[in-house]
Amino acid sequence: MNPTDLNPHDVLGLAADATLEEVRSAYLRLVREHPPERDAEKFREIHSAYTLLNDPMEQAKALLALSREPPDLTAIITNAVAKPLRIPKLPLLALGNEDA
Amino acid sequence: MGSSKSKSKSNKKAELERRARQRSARKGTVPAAAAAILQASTAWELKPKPLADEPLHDVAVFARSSREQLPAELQTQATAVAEALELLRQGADAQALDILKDIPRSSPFADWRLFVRGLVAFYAADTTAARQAWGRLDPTRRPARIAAVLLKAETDSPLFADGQQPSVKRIESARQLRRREHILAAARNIASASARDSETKFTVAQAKQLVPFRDEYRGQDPEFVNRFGQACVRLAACQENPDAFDMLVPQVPGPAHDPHWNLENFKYALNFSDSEEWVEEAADDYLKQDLTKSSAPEPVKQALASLLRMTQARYLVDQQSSAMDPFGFMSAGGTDYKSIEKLLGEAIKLYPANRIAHLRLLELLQEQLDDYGTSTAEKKKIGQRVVPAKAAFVKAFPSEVEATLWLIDHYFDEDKLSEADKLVIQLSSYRLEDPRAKALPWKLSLRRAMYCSGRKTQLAQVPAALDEAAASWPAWLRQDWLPFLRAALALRQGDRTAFDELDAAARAACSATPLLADCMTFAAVQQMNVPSAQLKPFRQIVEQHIAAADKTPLEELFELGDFWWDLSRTGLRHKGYRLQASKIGKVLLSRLKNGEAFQVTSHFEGACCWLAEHSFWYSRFEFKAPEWLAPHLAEHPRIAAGIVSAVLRFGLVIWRLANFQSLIEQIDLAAKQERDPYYRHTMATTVSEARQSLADFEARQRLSPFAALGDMFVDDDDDYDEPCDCPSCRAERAREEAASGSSGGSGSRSSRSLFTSFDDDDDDDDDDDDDEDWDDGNDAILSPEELFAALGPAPAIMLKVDARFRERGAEDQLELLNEEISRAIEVPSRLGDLEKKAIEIFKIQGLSSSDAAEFITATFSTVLRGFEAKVRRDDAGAEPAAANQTADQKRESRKSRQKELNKKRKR
Repeated sequence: MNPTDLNPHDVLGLAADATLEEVRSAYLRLVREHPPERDAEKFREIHSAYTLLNDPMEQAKALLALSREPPDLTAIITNAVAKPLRIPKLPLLALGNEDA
Repeated sequence: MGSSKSKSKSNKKAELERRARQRSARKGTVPAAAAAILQASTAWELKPKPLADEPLHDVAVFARSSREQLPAELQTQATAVAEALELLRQGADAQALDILKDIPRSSPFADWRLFVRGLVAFYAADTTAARQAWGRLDPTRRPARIAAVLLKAETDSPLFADGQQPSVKRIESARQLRRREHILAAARNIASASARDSETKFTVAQAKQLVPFRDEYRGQDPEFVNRFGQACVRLAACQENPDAFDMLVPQVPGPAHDPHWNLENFKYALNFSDSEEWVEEAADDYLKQDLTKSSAPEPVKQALASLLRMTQARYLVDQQSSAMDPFGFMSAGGTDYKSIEKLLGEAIKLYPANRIAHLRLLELLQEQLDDYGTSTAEKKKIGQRVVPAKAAFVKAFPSEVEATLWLIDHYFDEDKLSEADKLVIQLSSYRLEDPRAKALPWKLSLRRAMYCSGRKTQLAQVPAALDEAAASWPAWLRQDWLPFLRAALALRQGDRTAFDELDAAARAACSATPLLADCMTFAAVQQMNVPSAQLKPFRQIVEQHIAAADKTPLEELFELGDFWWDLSRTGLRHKGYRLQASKIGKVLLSRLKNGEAFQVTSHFEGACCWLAEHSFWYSRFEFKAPEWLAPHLAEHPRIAAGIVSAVLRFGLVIWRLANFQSLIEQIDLAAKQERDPYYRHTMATTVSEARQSLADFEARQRLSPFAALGDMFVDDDDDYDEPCDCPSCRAERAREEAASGSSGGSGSRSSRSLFTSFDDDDDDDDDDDDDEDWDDGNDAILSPEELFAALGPAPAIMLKVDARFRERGAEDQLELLNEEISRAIEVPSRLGDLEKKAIEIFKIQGLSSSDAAEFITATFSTVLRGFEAKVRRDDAGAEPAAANQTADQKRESRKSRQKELNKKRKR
């Protein structure tokens, strides 16, 4: 598949409004996972997505995203299931209370 | 104040609802899942309580009063720990560790630092690392107790084998705090309460549920609650009814790049017609309120601002093109070019690297130059704006070949050689594949020779410049033209004998026909700036050839067309070219149309490309190869590429896409086998531009909320079928042809039809009546009388509707509806909107929705019948009086019809 056919945000596993910094760190992480000598095609995909997203105009286009599909609420809920919550400060500290 | 009051009110309501649920659960009236949710909500309410003998530094982490009793240094450390715990909650692990790095090992807060390190590992699902860090904690202190509960809840194994184990209740609380099922269940509840009709994506009732949902859960899972809420807002922006969107916007904070939803509001506004003010307001709000404060990098902010202005301009263009009158003519006063130009100018200023904005601005300026309503004075002003626009484009994109070549030619024409030189050097440095860019040194030498020939003091430099040009002459161009230039130089130097000798030698060397040779001589003497007194005999010879063109063998005309194609594609047309080329082109085309036989010579392709370049046989509404050419097109993909390239300059029209696509595939295949570098490059470029245009067109179609309805107008017939017969196309064709017969301005770019700018030629005023093919267009505009006479008896449904609306005194509404229907013929994407509107109006008048549908169909077919009748009558030549009209009479008649039509529309 032609790397330019893919959505660059999807390739880097980022949200459409990801910042340049997030783009950079996702790129570095993925390149470490898929070095060119081991997975040339995937590397090309990643590199091409990064080049696109590193362009301010592409970033701006992603933010404006005029042709976006309507969001799927069910998918958002399903994707959230796997990740356990982080506990807010007060209930966390309360876990250290003595039992009555 | 008001909002905080209402918020506390809604908090209170949520609290009451929660307590009611608790009561129900206690009574056993709720299912087990709901009871689990209830238990979870109690865990979230847990608060840290100091133990009787708890060290002050542990209590200080959550109790401000205890913190104040500590020495200043320890107070800072306690605050840092509290902040670190908050940062961890937000997922800022690195930052949390960073603010604790200054706590020394000897500090009582060292245990908290260790606890935070373990918690980072724990949240990353690395319980081994967490256990390792937490194993070093003092088991008697709060950090160790929390760690023990967390580890036991997650892994079911104790942190300290010999210490006191946490109670089951605390372990269960920890488990509940880590679960988000109750939040997801509530979210699922909102998501599943969707509307019954497919058009409503997010109802007001759902929006009402989202408010307490946010109040209750954002403290527990802010990330998910925000993401879910933002998705709801976006969903609410995907429907026509704005109530849910308006309700949610003040309640749900937007994403980082659009905190007040101004950008979303802007995008939402774009879906509605006649919302210029809404679009403008939303764009301004976003630029002023949000973008300036955004933490995005400056280039991204500038690019976004530029895109916003460009989108605004696009919206205005769409609005104005859809605001055409019922029969397809542009409204009086035409397009608001000024506003669109201003927005595009702003877009470029904000982000000069916005290539599309540059291209759109240049297109807009060109459109104004081509607009038949633009006066000559206005055209002059617009022409002056084209130069800085092109210069800005080339500055931002120095490797842009087309614009740079245009500027180079312009600077040469303006005698600004040094400016031209700079651009030649700049473009050459890119080592571009475009053969025209590679040929720049040649062109520079040739243009310098022409420039110097115009100045007596520099005449001596011309031979050297011509030698330079000869040395770098491109292989893809005919070279037999150079000796004619040398001969013309001799004449310019006043040596008539040398001229005669050299000219004769040039003619002998190229074995050109007298027609071609005389035209080449004329071109050369013009380009070598021979004084006008000496030019006359050369012009007369060419005019004699033109007068006899209807008897000249077609193959000779092809040969001349091929030569002129060279001049056109290199941008080296001479003075007088337009007049001569236009006349020869008309004769050639007329004879070909009449079916005269011809041989396909080596000059056929060049001649056809030249004809295509000048759009001799089609307009944007008629993408069709003429009969004489169609059989040869498959064998000559160069010509096909020439046609596609010209069509692209005119812009794509929706119902021609299917034809277009198959032709692009043919050209693509041929380009890969093409040997000539010029054609190989231009064919490949044409294919890629055409594909891009198609993609852009399709993307715009997708953006339209009612895009699917537009497909009914897509033509999927075989290649080269008849031109679109829809009334608006016919009317627009008529308008265009009428315009080509009466254009009053200069400055149209070379690629446009010669006939568009033909009347501007100072030495031509005898052409109005010499070819009826080109005058037909003047009569193709229907007068209102003609149209309504052609409509015939009205169908029963129209009579019924008319009677009902009259009866109820709602004629105005019916008139508006009729206008909408006629507009929908021009803009198919309006059909969905229209039907809904018609049903609404009909219901008010006590008519059914099937009446509405029948009425729309009847009105459509009546308008179509009217146009068909007109076309049939024109075909039968049933207007002998019009044929006898003079050009002036035709112009007058056209003007009065247009005025009448405008008046009618205003009424």
